[in-house]
Amino acid sequence: MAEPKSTSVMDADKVDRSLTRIAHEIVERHREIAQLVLVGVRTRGVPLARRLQHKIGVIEGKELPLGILDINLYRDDITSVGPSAILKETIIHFPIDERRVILVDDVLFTGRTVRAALDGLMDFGRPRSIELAVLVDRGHRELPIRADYVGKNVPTGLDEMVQVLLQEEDGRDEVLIVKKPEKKEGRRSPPRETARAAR
Amino acid sequence: MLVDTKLQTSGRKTATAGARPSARRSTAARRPEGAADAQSARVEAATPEPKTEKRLIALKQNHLLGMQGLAAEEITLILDTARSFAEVSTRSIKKVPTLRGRTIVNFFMEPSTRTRSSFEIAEKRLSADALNFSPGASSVVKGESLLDTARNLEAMAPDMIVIRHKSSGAPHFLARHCRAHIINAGDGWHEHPTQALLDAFTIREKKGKLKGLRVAIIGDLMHSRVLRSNIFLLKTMGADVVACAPPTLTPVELSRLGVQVTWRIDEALEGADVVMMLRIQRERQKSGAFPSAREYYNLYGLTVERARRARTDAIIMHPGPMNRGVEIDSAVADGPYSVILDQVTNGVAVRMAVLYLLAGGTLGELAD
Repeated sequence: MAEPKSTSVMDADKVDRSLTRIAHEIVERHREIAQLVLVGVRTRGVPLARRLQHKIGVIEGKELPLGILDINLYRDDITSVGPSAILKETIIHFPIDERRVILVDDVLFTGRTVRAALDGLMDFGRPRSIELAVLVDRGHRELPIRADYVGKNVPTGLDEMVQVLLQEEDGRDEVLIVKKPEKKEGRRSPPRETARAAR
Repeated sequence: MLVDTKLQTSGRKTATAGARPSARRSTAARRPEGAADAQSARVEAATPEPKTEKRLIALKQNHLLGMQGLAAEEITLILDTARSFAEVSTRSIKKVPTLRGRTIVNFFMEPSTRTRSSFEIAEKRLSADALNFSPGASSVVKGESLLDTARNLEAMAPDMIVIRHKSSGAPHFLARHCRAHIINAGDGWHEHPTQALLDAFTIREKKGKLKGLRVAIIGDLMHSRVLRSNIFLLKTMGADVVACAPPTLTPVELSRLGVQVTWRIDEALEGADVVMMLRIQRERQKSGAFPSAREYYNLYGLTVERARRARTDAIIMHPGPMNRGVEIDSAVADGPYSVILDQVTNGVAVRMAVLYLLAGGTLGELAD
């Protein structure tokens, strides 16, 4: 298969500095740190949330509770395009009622994943507030959703894909913009392709 | 439904399939974060394939008609997915919106409490609209043919039909005549796939694996669809199966399925990791298959003494409903090695997984 063209937009140092800044922004905005909990959206929101947990721990000397959310059960296209990933467990073992939740994901795109994540969180209780932290905001929102903390705004075209690589999952930290492969090269059917891009 | 070549970069992923030894539902939610991380699949949407590894994310079929012909990777996918659904049943709000707006018909032509309510709970927890269609209330008793019933069901445009029928092959017939996804909830003496799946799920939860285990299945082998589904599944997953029954209840062709067959219960129990008891229907006594329930109990009933022949960490299973004092002694059924109620709990998660995975598929074409 032909190697698609890719451009690096964030290196490991930039990723780390962005997360450090976000951690500081979070503690700046929330004086009562005891109220805060972090929830990472599978897959790559989880290591990011864990890193924020560590960084906030260093700043405040307190480790925030961390939950893991799988949004697959809340997707709006499950019956039209089918599962896009193997369903994993949601692990939130603390009450989120009256807590201030920081939802963490890698890329903010159409907003549909975040919509699903919000619905998922509501099934676990009634948080006092929910804020959104993302490493990359690539635009093209389809829903009225915005991020409260952004690592980097990356303008993209719809024919491009943003690929976040993280040490924990991929062996290195980097953010790439990749030109979408031509349809005829891909083995996947068109609707599935659209659905993936939409995530 | 297609096999998707979902991309994985992390090689750790493959290890998760069978390797969760004693994680019970309750404790599973409290697992250390590290463990969860190690399992996370690579699901980022629009990524090109760096280091690709083929992994199934959807079933290859549109229906679940039987375990025969289901590939090991599909079984693993269902069991892995069920694991995540077990968590939903531990929440205070036991409902997710996944199948909102989907209609599922539970078409039960044979009496069933456990299986039907298990499917119904699974459907409700997935927010599907469930419709129950059973003999007492249906026109089938008034002489309607299965084909006409199928066409009438079809006319109501259900997305899925769960069927239990006394005739083997009825689900397959329905699959040819309906666009809906068909799930076999037991057909005649043929198959009962979701029972085998929930049994496998329970074994995997307790033993951490299926491969290489010695599974003794004891009871009415002749009339048991649970047995047939279990044999197909267990053999596919690499377990050793030994089946035991009186000669009158042992079908001759059984050994052709790669199963060791014996008439002596002690021999079957020797060294077993899993003991699966099958229900003895008292009606069979009239057909001369065995002289009396008491005699059956004396020769084939699972007592505490007999169970000692199995491995010290063996688990005891029964698909229910149990005949205490016929195929199983109460002391065993309620004993520390019994996982009979876990089977019931796991049934809901497994059925949610099956419904979820089938819902992702496209509706079939009509055969005629």
